[in-house]
Amino acid sequence: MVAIIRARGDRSIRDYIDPERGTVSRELYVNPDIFEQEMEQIFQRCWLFLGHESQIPNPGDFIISRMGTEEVIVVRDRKDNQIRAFLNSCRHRGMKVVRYDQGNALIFTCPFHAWTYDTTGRLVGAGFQHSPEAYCGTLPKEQWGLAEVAQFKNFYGSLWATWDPKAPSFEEYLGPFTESLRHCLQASDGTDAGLDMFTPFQRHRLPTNWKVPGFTSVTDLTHTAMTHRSAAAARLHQDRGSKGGRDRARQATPFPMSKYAIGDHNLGHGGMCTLYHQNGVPEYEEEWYEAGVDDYFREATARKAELLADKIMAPHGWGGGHFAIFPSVMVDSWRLRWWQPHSVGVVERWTLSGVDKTAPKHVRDAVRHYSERFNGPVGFFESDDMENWNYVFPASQGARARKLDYYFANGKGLGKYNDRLPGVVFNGSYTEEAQRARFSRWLAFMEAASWDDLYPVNKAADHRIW
Amino acid sequence: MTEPKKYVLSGPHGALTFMSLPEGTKITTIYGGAGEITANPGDGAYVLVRFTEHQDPAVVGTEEFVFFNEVREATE
Repeated sequence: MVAIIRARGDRSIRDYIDPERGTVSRELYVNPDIFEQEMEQIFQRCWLFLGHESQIPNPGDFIISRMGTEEVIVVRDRKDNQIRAFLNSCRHRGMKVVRYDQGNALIFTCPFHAWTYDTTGRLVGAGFQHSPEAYCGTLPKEQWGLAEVAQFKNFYGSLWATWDPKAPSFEEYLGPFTESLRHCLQASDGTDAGLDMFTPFQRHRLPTNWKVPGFTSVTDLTHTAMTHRSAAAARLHQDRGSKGGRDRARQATPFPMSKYAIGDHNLGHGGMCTLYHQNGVPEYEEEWYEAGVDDYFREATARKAELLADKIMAPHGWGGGHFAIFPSVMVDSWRLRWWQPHSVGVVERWTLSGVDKTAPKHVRDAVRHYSERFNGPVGFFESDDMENWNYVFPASQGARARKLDYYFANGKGLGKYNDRLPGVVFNGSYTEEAQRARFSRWLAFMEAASWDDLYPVNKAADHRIW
Repeated sequence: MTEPKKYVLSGPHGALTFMSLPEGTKITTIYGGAGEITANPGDGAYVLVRFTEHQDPAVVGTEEFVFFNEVREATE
Protein backbone atom coordinates (compact mmCIF):
# COMPACT_ATOMS: atom_id res chain seq x y z
CA MET A 1 0.00 0.00 0.00
CA VAL A 2 1.38 3.38 -1.01
CA ALA A 3 1.50 5.76 1.93
CA ILE A 4 -1.11 8.46 1.69
CA ILE A 5 0.52 11.79 1.04
CA ARG A 6 -1.18 14.06 3.52
CA ALA A 7 1.49 16.68 3.44
CA ARG A 8 4.33 17.72 1.14
CA GLY A 9 6.42 20.18 3.07
CA ASP A 10 3.95 22.45 4.71
CA ARG A 11 1.12 21.75 2.26
CA SER A 12 -1.53 19.05 2.45
CA ILE A 13 -3.22 17.52 -0.58
CA ARG A 14 -6.21 19.71 0.21
CA ASP A 15 -4.06 22.82 0.02
CA TYR A 16 -3.31 22.18 -3.64
CA ILE A 17 -6.90 23.11 -4.50
CA ASP A 18 -8.14 26.57 -3.60
CA PRO A 19 -11.93 26.59 -3.72
CA GLU A 20 -12.13 30.29 -2.91
CA ARG A 21 -9.99 31.36 -5.85
CA GLY A 22 -11.16 28.48 -8.02
CA THR A 23 -7.67 27.19 -8.72
CA VAL A 24 -5.82 23.87 -8.84
CA SER A 25 -2.07 23.55 -8.44
CA ARG A 26 -0.21 22.24 -11.48
CA GLU A 27 1.64 20.02 -9.03
CA LEU A 28 -1.33 17.66 -9.14
CA TYR A 29 -0.60 16.99 -12.81
CA VAL A 30 3.19 16.66 -12.76
CA ASN A 31 4.17 15.13 -9.41
CA PRO A 32 5.00 11.39 -9.65
CA ASP A 33 4.21 10.79 -5.96
CA ILE A 34 0.71 12.17 -6.44
CA PHE A 35 0.33 9.97 -9.52
CA GLU A 36 1.24 6.89 -7.46
CA GLN A 37 -1.27 7.92 -4.83
CA GLU A 38 -3.95 8.29 -7.52
CA MET A 39 -3.30 4.74 -8.67
CA GLU A 40 -3.80 3.45 -5.13
CA GLN A 41 -6.56 5.71 -3.88
CA ILE A 42 -8.60 6.14 -7.07
CA PHE A 43 -7.87 3.41 -9.60
CA GLN A 44 -7.83 0.60 -7.03
CA ARG A 45 -11.26 1.65 -5.77
CA CYS A 46 -13.35 3.10 -8.59
CA TRP A 47 -15.46 1.24 -11.09
CA LEU A 48 -13.37 1.30 -14.28
CA PHE A 49 -14.44 0.73 -17.86
CA LEU A 50 -12.93 -2.36 -19.52
CA GLY A 51 -14.59 -2.63 -22.91
CA HIS A 52 -17.74 -3.88 -24.62
CA GLU A 53 -19.17 -7.37 -24.85
CA SER A 54 -19.31 -7.16 -28.66
CA GLN A 55 -15.49 -7.27 -28.64
CA ILE A 56 -15.62 -10.83 -27.30
CA PRO A 57 -18.75 -12.44 -28.81
CA ASN A 58 -17.61 -16.09 -28.77
CA PRO A 59 -16.64 -18.51 -25.98
CA GLY A 60 -12.90 -18.24 -25.35
CA ASP A 61 -12.67 -14.73 -26.86
CA PHE A 62 -10.50 -12.35 -24.86
CA ILE A 63 -9.19 -8.81 -24.95
CA ILE A 64 -6.52 -7.12 -22.90
CA SER A 65 -7.75 -4.03 -21.11
CA ARG A 66 -6.31 -1.93 -18.32
CA MET A 67 -7.19 -0.84 -14.78
CA GLY A 68 -4.92 2.05 -13.96
CA THR A 69 -1.38 1.09 -14.89
CA GLU A 70 -2.13 -2.64 -14.88
CA GLU A 71 -3.32 -4.96 -17.62
CA VAL A 72 -6.35 -7.17 -17.19
CA ILE A 73 -7.52 -10.12 -19.27
CA VAL A 74 -11.22 -9.82 -20.11
CA VAL A 75 -12.43 -13.21 -21.27
CA ARG A 76 -15.70 -14.93 -22.14
CA ASP A 77 -15.70 -18.38 -20.55
CA ARG A 78 -15.91 -21.38 -22.84
CA LYS A 79 -18.45 -23.21 -20.68
CA ASP A 80 -20.82 -20.79 -18.97
CA ASN A 81 -20.36 -17.90 -21.46
CA GLN A 82 -19.83 -15.49 -18.57
CA ILE A 83 -17.36 -12.64 -18.94
CA ARG A 84 -14.73 -12.26 -16.24
CA ALA A 85 -11.64 -10.10 -15.72
CA PHE A 86 -8.27 -11.07 -14.27
CA LEU A 87 -4.97 -9.36 -13.62
CA ASN A 88 -2.59 -10.24 -16.44
CA SER A 89 0.13 -11.45 -14.09
CA CYS A 90 1.09 -15.06 -13.48
CA ARG A 91 0.63 -16.04 -9.85
CA HIS A 92 3.95 -17.91 -9.88
CA ARG A 93 6.52 -15.23 -10.78
CA GLY A 94 4.41 -12.35 -12.07
CA MET A 95 5.08 -12.85 -15.78
CA LYS A 96 2.59 -11.29 -18.19
CA VAL A 97 0.48 -14.32 -19.05
CA VAL A 98 -1.20 -12.99 -22.20
CA ARG A 99 0.84 -10.99 -24.69
CA TYR A 100 -1.70 -10.60 -27.48
CA ASP A 101 -4.17 -7.69 -27.45
CA GLN A 102 -7.06 -9.95 -28.38
CA GLY A 103 -7.79 -13.47 -29.51
CA ASN A 104 -9.50 -16.75 -28.68
CA ALA A 105 -7.99 -19.21 -26.23
CA LEU A 106 -8.66 -22.55 -24.63
CA ILE A 107 -6.21 -21.78 -21.84
CA PHE A 108 -3.72 -19.06 -20.98
CA THR A 109 -0.24 -20.53 -20.60
CA CYS A 110 2.49 -18.48 -18.98
CA PRO A 111 5.58 -18.57 -21.18
CA PHE A 112 7.91 -18.55 -18.13
CA HIS A 113 7.26 -21.84 -16.24
CA ALA A 114 4.08 -22.97 -18.01
CA TRP A 115 1.63 -22.28 -15.23
CA THR A 116 -1.60 -22.38 -17.18
CA TYR A 117 -5.09 -21.05 -16.48
CA ASP A 118 -8.49 -21.79 -17.96
CA THR A 119 -11.02 -19.14 -19.01
CA THR A 120 -12.41 -18.96 -15.47
CA GLY A 121 -8.93 -18.05 -14.20
CA ARG A 122 -8.44 -21.41 -12.50
CA LEU A 123 -4.90 -22.83 -12.45
CA VAL A 124 -5.20 -26.05 -14.43
CA GLY A 125 -1.59 -27.01 -14.99
CA ALA A 126 2.05 -26.25 -14.30
CA GLY A 127 5.21 -27.55 -15.84
CA PHE A 128 6.49 -30.57 -13.90
CA GLN A 129 3.40 -30.56 -11.68
CA HIS A 130 3.47 -34.36 -11.37
CA SER A 131 7.25 -34.82 -11.39
CA PRO A 132 8.68 -36.59 -8.32
CA GLU A 133 11.66 -34.27 -8.69
CA ALA A 134 9.53 -31.13 -8.57
CA TYR A 135 6.02 -30.50 -7.21
CA CYS A 136 5.27 -34.22 -6.70
CA GLY A 137 1.62 -33.41 -7.37
CA THR A 138 1.39 -31.20 -4.27
CA LEU A 139 0.75 -27.84 -5.96
CA PRO A 140 -2.53 -26.53 -4.45
CA LYS A 141 -3.91 -25.35 -7.79
CA GLU A 142 -7.23 -24.29 -6.33
CA GLN A 143 -5.44 -21.55 -4.36
CA TRP A 144 -3.35 -20.16 -7.19
CA GLY A 145 -5.77 -18.97 -9.86
CA LEU A 146 -5.39 -15.63 -11.61
CA ALA A 147 -6.28 -12.61 -9.45
CA GLU A 148 -9.89 -11.76 -10.33
CA VAL A 149 -11.48 -8.34 -9.99
CA ALA A 150 -13.53 -7.91 -6.83
CA GLN A 151 -16.70 -6.87 -8.65
CA PHE A 152 -17.66 -7.07 -12.32
CA LYS A 153 -20.64 -5.61 -14.15
CA ASN A 154 -21.98 -6.07 -17.64
CA PHE A 155 -24.15 -2.97 -17.96
CA TYR A 156 -26.15 -3.22 -21.20
CA GLY A 157 -23.10 -4.54 -23.02
CA SER A 158 -20.52 -2.25 -21.44
CA LEU A 159 -18.03 -4.00 -19.13
CA TRP A 160 -16.91 -2.51 -15.83
CA ALA A 161 -14.91 -3.72 -12.84
CA THR A 162 -13.44 -2.63 -9.53
CA TRP A 163 -10.68 -4.11 -7.41
CA ASP A 164 -12.48 -3.00 -4.24
CA PRO A 165 -14.98 -5.41 -2.66
CA LYS A 166 -16.33 -2.54 -0.56
CA ALA A 167 -17.22 -0.38 -3.58
CA PRO A 168 -20.96 0.29 -3.96
CA SER A 169 -22.92 -1.40 -6.74
CA PHE A 170 -22.26 -0.05 -10.21
CA GLU A 171 -25.71 1.54 -10.36
CA GLU A 172 -25.11 3.29 -7.03
CA TYR A 173 -21.74 4.44 -8.34
CA LEU A 174 -23.46 5.97 -11.39
CA GLY A 175 -26.27 7.52 -9.36
CA PRO A 176 -28.45 9.81 -11.47
CA PHE A 177 -26.31 9.09 -14.55
CA THR A 178 -27.52 5.48 -14.76
CA GLU A 179 -30.30 6.30 -17.20
CA SER A 180 -27.93 8.33 -19.37
CA LEU A 181 -25.38 5.53 -19.67
CA ARG A 182 -28.14 3.09 -20.59
CA HIS A 183 -29.41 5.55 -23.20
CA CYS A 184 -25.96 5.92 -24.73
CA LEU A 185 -25.66 2.13 -25.06
CA GLN A 186 -28.98 1.77 -26.86
CA ALA A 187 -29.38 1.39 -30.59
CA SER A 188 -30.71 4.36 -32.51
CA ASP A 189 -34.23 2.92 -32.29
CA GLY A 190 -34.06 2.96 -28.47
CA THR A 191 -33.61 -0.78 -27.90
CA ASP A 192 -31.27 -1.90 -25.12
CA ALA A 193 -27.75 -3.27 -25.54
CA GLY A 194 -28.07 -2.48 -29.18
CA LEU A 195 -24.52 -1.64 -30.21
CA ASP A 196 -21.62 -3.37 -31.92
CA MET A 197 -18.21 -1.81 -31.43
CA PHE A 198 -15.79 -1.59 -34.32
CA THR A 199 -12.64 -3.66 -33.90
CA PRO A 200 -9.77 -3.21 -33.70
CA PHE A 201 -10.44 -0.07 -31.74
CA GLN A 202 -8.44 3.15 -31.72
CA ARG A 203 -5.63 3.42 -29.23
CA HIS A 204 -2.79 5.86 -29.07
CA ARG A 205 -0.28 7.15 -26.57
CA LEU A 206 0.15 10.76 -25.50
CA PRO A 207 3.00 12.37 -23.57
CA THR A 208 0.82 14.01 -20.96
CA ASN A 209 -0.81 13.43 -17.59
CA TRP A 210 -4.04 11.45 -17.69
CA LYS A 211 -5.99 14.29 -16.12
CA VAL A 212 -5.15 16.73 -18.92
CA PRO A 213 -7.39 14.98 -21.47
CA GLY A 214 -9.41 12.76 -19.12
CA PHE A 215 -10.28 15.22 -16.41
CA THR A 216 -9.80 18.77 -17.56
CA SER A 217 -10.82 18.52 -21.19
CA VAL A 218 -14.00 16.49 -21.01
CA THR A 219 -16.81 19.01 -21.33
CA ASP A 220 -14.80 22.06 -22.18
CA LEU A 221 -16.91 23.90 -24.71
CA THR A 222 -14.84 27.08 -24.56
CA HIS A 223 -11.93 25.37 -26.31
CA THR A 224 -13.89 24.45 -29.40
CA ALA A 225 -14.08 27.89 -31.00
CA MET A 226 -10.30 28.31 -31.03
CA THR A 227 -8.86 24.79 -31.06
CA HIS A 228 -11.19 23.48 -33.74
CA ARG A 229 -11.51 26.64 -35.77
CA SER A 230 -9.84 25.18 -38.85
CA ALA A 231 -12.05 22.09 -38.76
CA ALA A 232 -15.06 24.34 -38.30
CA ALA A 233 -14.00 26.46 -41.25
CA ALA A 234 -13.96 23.31 -43.33
CA ARG A 235 -17.52 22.59 -42.11
CA LEU A 236 -16.34 19.44 -40.41
CA HIS A 237 -17.78 20.62 -37.12
CA GLN A 238 -21.31 19.55 -37.88
CA ASP A 239 -22.31 16.33 -36.23
CA ARG A 240 -21.58 13.90 -39.04
CA GLY A 241 -19.40 15.96 -41.32
CA SER A 242 -22.63 16.53 -42.96
CA LYS A 243 -24.81 18.17 -45.51
CA GLY A 244 -25.86 20.84 -43.10
CA GLY A 245 -25.80 19.23 -39.75
CA ARG A 246 -27.97 19.68 -36.75
CA ASP A 247 -29.35 23.13 -37.09
CA ARG A 248 -32.16 23.28 -34.59
CA ALA A 249 -33.29 26.64 -36.00
CA ARG A 250 -34.23 24.89 -39.24
CA GLN A 251 -36.83 22.80 -37.48
CA ALA A 252 -40.37 23.86 -38.22
CA THR A 253 -41.25 23.33 -34.55
CA PRO A 254 -38.13 23.44 -32.38
CA PHE A 255 -38.11 20.69 -29.77
CA PRO A 256 -38.15 22.34 -26.32
CA MET A 257 -34.90 21.72 -24.47
CA SER A 258 -32.26 23.43 -22.32
CA LYS A 259 -28.49 22.87 -22.46
CA TYR A 260 -26.15 22.90 -19.47
CA ALA A 261 -22.78 21.89 -18.13
CA ILE A 262 -23.39 19.76 -15.06
CA GLY A 263 -21.38 18.12 -12.32
CA ASP A 264 -22.13 15.82 -9.40
CA HIS A 265 -19.62 16.84 -6.75
CA ASN A 266 -20.30 13.76 -4.63
CA LEU A 267 -19.93 11.25 -7.46
CA GLY A 268 -17.52 13.12 -9.73
CA HIS A 269 -19.51 12.46 -12.89
CA GLY A 270 -20.64 15.27 -15.17
CA GLY A 271 -20.48 16.87 -18.55
CA MET A 272 -22.78 18.33 -21.11
CA CYS A 273 -26.49 17.89 -20.52
CA THR A 274 -29.74 18.47 -22.36
CA LEU A 275 -32.96 18.63 -20.42
CA TYR A 276 -35.89 17.94 -22.73
CA HIS A 277 -39.16 19.59 -21.82
CA GLN A 278 -41.43 17.40 -23.89
CA ASN A 279 -42.03 13.66 -24.31
CA GLY A 280 -40.69 11.87 -27.34
CA VAL A 281 -37.63 12.65 -29.46
CA PRO A 282 -36.65 15.62 -31.62
CA GLU A 283 -37.44 15.46 -35.30
CA TYR A 284 -34.76 13.62 -37.30
CA GLU A 285 -32.50 15.93 -39.28
CA GLU A 286 -30.65 14.75 -42.35
CA GLU A 287 -26.92 14.81 -41.79
CA TRP A 288 -25.18 12.13 -43.83
CA TYR A 289 -23.34 12.40 -47.12
CA GLU A 290 -23.60 8.69 -47.81
CA ALA A 291 -26.67 7.46 -49.72
CA GLY A 292 -29.28 5.61 -47.73
CA VAL A 293 -27.87 6.36 -44.28
CA ASP A 294 -30.36 9.09 -43.45
CA ASP A 295 -33.17 6.74 -44.50
CA TYR A 296 -31.97 4.14 -41.98
CA PHE A 297 -31.66 6.57 -39.08
CA ARG A 298 -34.92 8.35 -39.93
CA GLU A 299 -36.80 5.05 -39.66
CA ALA A 300 -34.98 4.11 -36.45
CA THR A 301 -35.77 7.52 -34.93
CA ALA A 302 -39.44 7.03 -35.79
CA ARG A 303 -39.45 3.72 -33.91
CA LYS A 304 -37.73 5.38 -30.96
CA ALA A 305 -40.32 8.16 -30.99
CA GLU A 306 -43.03 5.50 -30.57
CA LEU A 307 -41.14 3.94 -27.65
CA LEU A 308 -40.74 7.31 -25.94
CA ALA A 309 -44.15 8.74 -26.81
CA ASP A 310 -44.99 9.01 -23.11
CA LYS A 311 -41.49 9.58 -21.78
CA ILE A 312 -38.90 12.32 -21.54
CA MET A 313 -35.66 11.32 -23.27
CA ALA A 314 -32.54 10.83 -21.13
CA PRO A 315 -30.33 13.92 -20.93
CA HIS A 316 -27.22 12.47 -22.59
CA GLY A 317 -26.42 10.80 -25.86
CA TRP A 318 -28.24 10.84 -29.19
CA GLY A 319 -27.84 14.59 -29.56
CA GLY A 320 -27.99 15.36 -25.83
CA GLY A 321 -24.24 15.60 -25.40
CA HIS A 322 -21.53 13.56 -23.76
CA PHE A 323 -20.64 13.14 -20.12
CA ALA A 324 -17.80 11.71 -18.07
CA ILE A 325 -17.90 8.91 -15.53
CA PHE A 326 -15.32 9.39 -12.81
CA PRO A 327 -12.42 8.99 -13.07
CA SER A 328 -11.62 8.82 -16.77
CA VAL A 329 -14.39 7.67 -19.13
CA MET A 330 -16.22 9.85 -21.61
CA VAL A 331 -19.55 8.49 -22.80
CA ASP A 332 -21.57 9.36 -25.84
CA SER A 333 -23.98 7.39 -27.97
CA TRP A 334 -21.50 6.80 -30.78
CA ARG A 335 -18.25 6.41 -28.87
CA LEU A 336 -16.79 5.47 -25.51
CA ARG A 337 -13.44 7.08 -24.87
CA TRP A 338 -11.26 6.45 -21.89
CA TRP A 339 -7.81 7.41 -20.72
CA GLN A 340 -5.39 4.82 -19.42
CA PRO A 341 -2.63 6.23 -17.23
CA HIS A 342 0.83 4.71 -17.69
CA SER A 343 2.96 7.14 -15.71
CA VAL A 344 2.70 10.72 -14.51
CA GLY A 345 3.49 11.98 -18.02
CA VAL A 346 2.16 9.21 -20.27
CA VAL A 347 -1.44 8.28 -21.02
CA GLU A 348 -3.14 6.15 -23.66
CA ARG A 349 -6.43 7.26 -25.13
CA TRP A 350 -8.68 4.36 -26.14
CA THR A 351 -11.81 4.87 -28.23
CA LEU A 352 -14.55 2.38 -28.96
CA SER A 353 -16.93 3.53 -31.66
CA GLY A 354 -20.21 1.76 -32.09
CA VAL A 355 -23.07 1.26 -34.47
CA ASP A 356 -26.46 -0.46 -34.26
CA LYS A 357 -26.06 -4.24 -34.12
CA THR A 358 -28.67 -4.60 -36.82
CA ALA A 359 -27.33 -1.87 -39.10
CA PRO A 360 -26.75 -2.84 -42.74
CA LYS A 361 -23.27 -2.64 -44.21
CA HIS A 362 -23.64 0.77 -45.85
CA VAL A 363 -24.67 2.27 -42.50
CA ARG A 364 -21.87 0.50 -40.61
CA ASP A 365 -19.33 1.76 -43.13
CA ALA A 366 -20.61 5.34 -42.97
CA VAL A 367 -20.55 5.42 -39.16
CA ARG A 368 -17.07 3.88 -39.05
CA HIS A 369 -15.75 6.36 -41.59
CA TYR A 370 -17.24 9.22 -39.61
CA SER A 371 -15.57 7.98 -36.46
CA GLU A 372 -12.23 7.75 -38.23
CA ARG A 373 -12.67 11.24 -39.67
CA PHE A 374 -13.37 12.63 -36.24
CA ASN A 375 -11.26 10.71 -33.72
CA GLY A 376 -7.67 9.67 -33.44
CA PRO A 377 -4.34 10.93 -34.73
CA VAL A 378 -5.54 11.03 -38.32
CA GLY A 379 -8.94 12.47 -37.53
CA PHE A 380 -9.71 16.13 -38.03
CA PHE A 381 -10.83 16.90 -34.50
CA GLU A 382 -8.80 14.93 -32.03
CA SER A 383 -5.55 15.82 -33.72
CA ASP A 384 -6.42 19.42 -32.82
CA ASP A 385 -6.98 18.38 -29.22
CA MET A 386 -3.78 16.37 -29.04
CA GLU A 387 -1.78 19.41 -30.01
CA ASN A 388 -2.99 21.00 -26.79
CA TRP A 389 -2.81 17.90 -24.60
CA ASN A 390 0.76 17.16 -25.69
CA TYR A 391 2.11 20.63 -24.99
CA VAL A 392 0.29 21.27 -21.72
CA PHE A 393 2.39 18.75 -19.83
CA PRO A 394 5.92 19.92 -20.76
CA ALA A 395 4.87 23.55 -20.41
CA SER A 396 3.54 22.86 -16.91
CA GLN A 397 6.19 20.63 -15.34
CA GLY A 398 9.22 22.89 -15.14
CA ALA A 399 10.54 24.05 -11.77
CA ARG A 400 8.92 27.46 -12.28
CA ALA A 401 5.80 26.42 -14.21
CA ARG A 402 4.71 23.80 -11.67
CA LYS A 403 4.51 26.43 -8.93
CA LEU A 404 1.63 28.10 -10.76
CA ASP A 405 -2.06 27.25 -10.63
CA TYR A 406 -4.67 26.38 -13.23
CA TYR A 407 -7.84 28.48 -13.30
CA PHE A 408 -11.07 26.56 -12.82
CA ALA A 409 -13.38 29.37 -11.68
CA ASN A 410 -15.38 29.74 -14.91
CA GLY A 411 -18.98 29.89 -13.65
CA LYS A 412 -18.04 29.17 -10.04
CA GLY A 413 -20.85 30.04 -7.66
CA LEU A 414 -23.48 30.24 -10.39
CA GLY A 415 -24.58 26.60 -10.40
CA LYS A 416 -27.96 25.44 -9.11
CA TYR A 417 -29.44 22.10 -8.17
CA ASN A 418 -32.27 20.74 -10.30
CA ASP A 419 -34.76 18.04 -9.32
CA ARG A 420 -34.48 16.40 -12.73
CA LEU A 421 -31.08 15.01 -11.68
CA PRO A 422 -30.97 15.04 -7.87
CA GLY A 423 -27.64 16.08 -6.34
CA VAL A 424 -26.27 17.40 -9.63
CA VAL A 425 -25.19 21.03 -10.05
CA PHE A 426 -26.45 22.66 -13.25
CA ASN A 427 -24.55 25.56 -14.74
CA GLY A 428 -24.08 27.39 -18.02
CA SER A 429 -23.02 25.09 -20.83
CA TYR A 430 -19.69 26.92 -21.28
CA THR A 431 -18.76 26.80 -17.58
CA GLU A 432 -16.31 24.47 -15.81
CA GLU A 433 -18.85 22.95 -13.44
CA ALA A 434 -18.05 19.38 -14.54
CA GLN A 435 -14.32 19.88 -13.94
CA ARG A 436 -14.94 21.30 -10.47
CA ALA A 437 -17.13 18.31 -9.65
CA ARG A 438 -14.33 15.95 -10.69
CA PHE A 439 -11.91 17.68 -8.36
CA SER A 440 -14.37 17.53 -5.46
CA ARG A 441 -14.51 13.78 -5.93
CA TRP A 442 -10.77 13.51 -6.64
CA LEU A 443 -9.97 15.12 -3.31
CA ALA A 444 -12.43 12.88 -1.48
CA PHE A 445 -10.79 9.76 -2.91
CA MET A 446 -7.27 10.99 -2.24
CA GLU A 447 -8.05 11.62 1.41
CA ALA A 448 -10.42 8.74 2.19
CA ALA A 449 -9.15 5.74 4.12
CA SER A 450 -11.71 3.47 2.46
CA TRP A 451 -15.10 3.41 0.75
CA ASP A 452 -16.62 3.78 4.22
CA ASP A 453 -15.69 7.47 4.03
CA LEU A 454 -16.98 7.96 0.52
CA TYR A 455 -20.38 8.71 -0.94
CA PRO A 456 -22.61 6.72 -1.49
CA VAL A 457 -21.36 4.03 0.92
CA ASN A 458 -21.36 6.89 3.40
CA LYS A 459 -24.71 8.47 2.51
CA ALA A 460 -24.03 11.45 4.77
CA ALA A 461 -20.78 12.41 3.04
CA ASP A 462 -20.71 15.77 1.27
CA HIS A 463 -17.64 16.07 -0.93
CA ARG A 464 -18.49 19.38 -2.62
CA ILE A 465 -15.67 21.85 -2.02
CA TRP A 466 -16.74 24.66 -4.38
CA MET B 1 -2.83 -54.91 -40.14
CA THR B 2 -0.91 -51.62 -40.22
CA GLU B 3 0.57 -50.10 -37.11
CA PRO B 4 -1.04 -46.78 -36.03
CA LYS B 5 1.00 -43.72 -36.87
CA LYS B 6 3.33 -42.71 -34.08
CA TYR B 7 4.05 -38.99 -33.79
CA VAL B 8 7.70 -37.97 -33.34
CA LEU B 9 7.70 -35.58 -30.42
CA SER B 10 11.46 -35.27 -30.03
CA GLY B 11 14.04 -33.60 -32.23
CA PRO B 12 13.86 -30.29 -34.08
CA HIS B 13 10.24 -30.72 -35.25
CA GLY B 14 8.89 -32.21 -32.04
CA ALA B 15 7.49 -28.97 -30.62
CA LEU B 16 5.68 -28.11 -33.85
CA THR B 17 4.27 -31.62 -34.07
CA PHE B 18 3.02 -31.37 -30.49
CA MET B 19 1.36 -28.03 -31.22
CA SER B 20 -0.74 -29.58 -33.95
CA LEU B 21 -1.63 -32.99 -32.49
CA PRO B 22 -5.25 -33.50 -33.55
CA GLU B 23 -8.19 -34.36 -31.34
CA GLY B 24 -8.53 -38.11 -31.00
CA THR B 25 -4.79 -38.71 -30.72
CA LYS B 26 -4.01 -41.51 -28.23
CA ILE B 27 -1.63 -40.47 -25.48
CA THR B 28 0.38 -42.34 -22.87
CA THR B 29 2.19 -40.49 -20.12
CA ILE B 30 5.45 -41.11 -18.34
CA TYR B 31 3.44 -41.65 -15.13
CA GLY B 32 1.51 -44.58 -16.49
CA GLY B 33 -1.61 -42.81 -17.65
CA ALA B 34 -3.39 -43.24 -20.99
CA GLY B 35 -6.11 -41.36 -22.77
CA GLU B 36 -7.19 -39.38 -25.79
CA ILE B 37 -6.70 -35.73 -26.75
CA THR B 38 -9.98 -33.82 -26.60
CA ALA B 39 -8.53 -30.39 -27.36
CA ASN B 40 -5.20 -28.88 -28.28
CA PRO B 41 -4.74 -25.21 -27.37
CA GLY B 42 -1.88 -25.01 -29.84
CA ASP B 43 0.47 -23.36 -27.37
CA GLY B 44 3.09 -26.09 -27.66
CA ALA B 45 2.92 -26.69 -23.93
CA TYR B 46 -0.28 -28.60 -23.20
CA VAL B 47 -2.93 -30.89 -24.62
CA LEU B 48 -6.23 -31.64 -22.95
CA VAL B 49 -6.60 -35.36 -22.37
CA ARG B 50 -9.55 -37.51 -21.30
CA PHE B 51 -7.96 -40.31 -19.28
CA THR B 52 -8.90 -43.96 -19.65
CA GLU B 53 -6.11 -45.13 -17.34
CA HIS B 54 -4.42 -43.23 -14.54
CA GLN B 55 -2.51 -43.94 -11.35
CA ASP B 56 -5.22 -42.00 -9.53
CA PRO B 57 -8.50 -43.81 -10.27
CA ALA B 58 -10.45 -40.61 -9.61
CA VAL B 59 -8.92 -39.07 -12.72
CA VAL B 60 -10.15 -41.84 -15.04
CA GLY B 61 -12.96 -40.46 -17.18
CA THR B 62 -12.03 -36.85 -16.49
CA GLU B 63 -10.03 -34.34 -18.50
CA GLU B 64 -6.70 -32.87 -17.50
CA PHE B 65 -4.14 -30.71 -19.21
CA VAL B 66 -0.95 -32.67 -19.83
CA PHE B 67 2.41 -30.93 -20.17
CA PHE B 68 4.44 -31.86 -23.22
CA ASN B 69 7.30 -33.46 -21.31
CA GLU B 70 4.86 -35.80 -19.51
CA VAL B 71 3.83 -37.40 -22.80
CA ARG B 72 5.57 -40.70 -23.46
CA GLU B 73 3.91 -41.52 -26.74
CA ALA B 74 1.28 -40.12 -29.08
CA THR B 75 -0.36 -42.26 -31.73
CA GLU B 76 -3.17 -41.84 -34.23
